[in-house]
Amino acid sequence: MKFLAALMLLVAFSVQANDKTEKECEAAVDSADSMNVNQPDCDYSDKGLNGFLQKAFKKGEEGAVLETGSPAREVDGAAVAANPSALQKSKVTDNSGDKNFTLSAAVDQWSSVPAVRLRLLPKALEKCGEGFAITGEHYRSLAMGRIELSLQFECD
Amino acid sequence: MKKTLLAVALASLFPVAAFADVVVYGKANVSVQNADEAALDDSRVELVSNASRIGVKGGEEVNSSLKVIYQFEYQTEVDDGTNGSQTFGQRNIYLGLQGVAGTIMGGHFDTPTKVAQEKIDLFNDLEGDITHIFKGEIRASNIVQYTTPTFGGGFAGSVAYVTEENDGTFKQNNPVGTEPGNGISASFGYTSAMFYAGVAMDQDIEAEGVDLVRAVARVNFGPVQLGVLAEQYENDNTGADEDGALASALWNITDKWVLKGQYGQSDVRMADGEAASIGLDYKMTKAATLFSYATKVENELVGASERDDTYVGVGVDFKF
Repeated sequence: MKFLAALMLLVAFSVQANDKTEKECEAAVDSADSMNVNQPDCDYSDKGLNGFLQKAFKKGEEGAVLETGSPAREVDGAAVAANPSALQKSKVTDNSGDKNFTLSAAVDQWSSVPAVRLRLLPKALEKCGEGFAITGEHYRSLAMGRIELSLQFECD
Repeated sequence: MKKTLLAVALASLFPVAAFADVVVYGKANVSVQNADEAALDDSRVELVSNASRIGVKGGEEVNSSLKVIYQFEYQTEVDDGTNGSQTFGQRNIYLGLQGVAGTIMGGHFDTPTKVAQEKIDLFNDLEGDITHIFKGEIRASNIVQYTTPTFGGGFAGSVAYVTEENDGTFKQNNPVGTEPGNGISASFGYTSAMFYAGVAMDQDIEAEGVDLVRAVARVNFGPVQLGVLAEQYENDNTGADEDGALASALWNITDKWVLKGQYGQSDVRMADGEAASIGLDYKMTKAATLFSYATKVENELVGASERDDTYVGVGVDFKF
């Protein structure tokens, strides 16, 4: 038995593990079940139940909306399908490691746009660290008269 | 109440910052199976909930080199809504500190030996789970564990101490007339996406005088995963000295279809225990999987301990 265990380890360590592929994040439930406290942190802020709760409690000036399967969600879904770049959350848009990203927010009326726009800027600085430039600004009409503001950022 | 008004009310109670490092997660796993067991006169059809659960985990940075981590996970029975007399049963729960020197945590969670199985058990939480013919699958209470940081590209080790409880609640299955003692569980291994190998041991975890050693390895060749597990078990109280081994194989036929098989022989849990399983999974989405399995578990015992059981089932696993 002990010989078998030692042989298994010897064979196992002699295998050339040419692991060039970066491990994709597994589901949060599997990550928790693994009990591996050394695993790299993954971003589940836009996935599954966690993503729903993060969005539901996202703060913005009159912009937080619980999506409960109402027509507003269907409209948003159709709009996103038609224009995949119109995201509800920030997202890496190139492969150079989070250098370019988009932050979006939904507001109920145009008069709220300046304040909400101002709130996105410190979040961008937090993400970039040193500095950033606004490379694009986009407005989109949502259901029930709401407006979605999207700012594209490029980190220094 | 308008959605917006409701949302503002809720948002005022729960600041966004509270959710910054919190992950809420869970899974529902339910299957319908035909069970043909030696203990039954006739086969029966069952709806079973296979370790469905909901949990929350997260952490908060104390400074750049220290972080508080926690996890609270509970099992729920999707099939009949009860877990004995409780709606939820405790799964892995801990509170810990994580720093550059490693992680220390305490709570109620899987021992390092149980965790060492990694992804070898392809029928985990189903009738083909290795726990039916092996031991060491213990979720211990009052456990304190230290885990090293990862070093050397993938090496890490854990050592856990299960405390002796002198509060009248015995946590171990000790023989009559013996006192509960402290137990130690430890593991060491190398992990990567392509390859894993580890060894683990339990001393006095199941009971005073019971020791267990486990060795596990996994290797991935493209779409194929192979796994092996070997275990040795000694019980000074009964004189038992048993061992067992298991092999598993998984083939990602396409990015949607997965074929898997597993076979184990072990005297650890029951004399001449044998378990064989085959399964076919279909990944409907990234979160939802339709799975099917056929499992046979048998031994050479007679009477009430006899097992000559066959299970055939199909189910859905949904992660959220």
